Amino acid sequence: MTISFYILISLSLVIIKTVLIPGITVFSKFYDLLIPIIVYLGFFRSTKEGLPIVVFSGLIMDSLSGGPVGLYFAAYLWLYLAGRWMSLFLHGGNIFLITIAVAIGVMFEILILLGYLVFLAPGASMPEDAIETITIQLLLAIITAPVILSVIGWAQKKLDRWRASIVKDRRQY
Amino acid sequence: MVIFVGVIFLFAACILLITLTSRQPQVAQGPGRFAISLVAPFQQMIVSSSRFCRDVWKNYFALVSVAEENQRLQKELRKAQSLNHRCSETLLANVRFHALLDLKHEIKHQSIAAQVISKDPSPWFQTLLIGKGSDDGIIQGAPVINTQGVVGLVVQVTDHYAKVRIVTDPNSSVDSVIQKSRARGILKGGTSGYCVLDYVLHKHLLNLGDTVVTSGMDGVFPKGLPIGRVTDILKHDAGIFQEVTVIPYVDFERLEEVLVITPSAQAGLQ
Repeated sequence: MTISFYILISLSLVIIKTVLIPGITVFSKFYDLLIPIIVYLGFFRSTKEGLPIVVFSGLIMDSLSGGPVGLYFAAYLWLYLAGRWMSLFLHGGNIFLITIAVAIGVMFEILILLGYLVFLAPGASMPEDAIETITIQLLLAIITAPVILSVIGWAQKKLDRWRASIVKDRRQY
Repeated sequence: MVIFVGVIFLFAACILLITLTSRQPQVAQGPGRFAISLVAPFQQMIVSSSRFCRDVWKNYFALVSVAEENQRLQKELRKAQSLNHRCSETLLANVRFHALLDLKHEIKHQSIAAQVISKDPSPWFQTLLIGKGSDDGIIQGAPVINTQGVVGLVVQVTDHYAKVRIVTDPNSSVDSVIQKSRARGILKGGTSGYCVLDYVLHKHLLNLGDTVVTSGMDGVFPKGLPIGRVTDILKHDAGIFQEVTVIPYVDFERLEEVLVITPSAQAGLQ
């Protein structure tokens, strides 16, 4: 159920990012909205739940993006693993820390994508507005990530309670 | 007898009085005036009250009906606004479709019109998803244009959808020439809405605003399709090439429909 829930959220965010956000010129350089989800999964959910979603999200983004297949998948996988590792010694309940983790995640993904563009892409050129794009993405991540993470956390709690009540009812019968 | 005389007298007196009073205008004097003064305020009061009641009654119902009419009119207005909006959208779409149809006739070869569905989720890559795929005859490598110029190239096709890499993508390259000077170069994407024309020899004289068109030498894009205009030229003292920045004619922010040139059309255009 949790996996379906996150797949639904991921699809919704991808649709928002590809259909709605491009219509708003101001947000044309919005960061990857799936990063907060990947970071959240890394910090709070088990590998059994997190990994399928990471694979699914990576494949979806690779299919929709103009980059080579596997680029987003690799970025998400490393991000997720980094999240799991960081959760060992960082308290994920602190919204400030997890926001910083999202910002680092955005920067990490940018570095992977830029690494591809600079060293592996056939044209092998650095976009001239790279600094501007990175700055905008990081700022937007710092501003919006707490909201997204709070909404995900709230929805996850509701889902857990709902699932617990179903299990309880079944046991009673 | 006395009674009879009395009745006759009274009758005659009445006739006389009526005759006399009918010849003169009525003047409110004396008892008449008093009577009027006495009765009229009450009459006025009753009339006013009855009128007030009548008005209240009438206006209340009138207001109810006005309110109903207002609601009805507002509903009609909303419908009309919605219809007007739809008509405006249809009109704009019609203009775009006409332009696309004109272009289709202009290239005189087979092409497929498609609608843009979504854009690339990453700002680092520039692709579009269009609502036509291999089932509609679209193949990988097909050039995509619109009324303004070159849009890009189909890079991935599914049954019903196709991914188009637009000319501003960093992985995109189009063999191009400057229309006026015929200087040749490779147009590469620069991600944020502009392109760079590489390998233009230093000896060529270029001007700002020059039109860049496809050369047709890459075997992908038909020759002579407009791509964009030159907005910046940088000539270094050393080196054999000049740096040329090109802004595409196509407004990718507002792109809604495109035309995909099919293989037979390309063969005809070469």
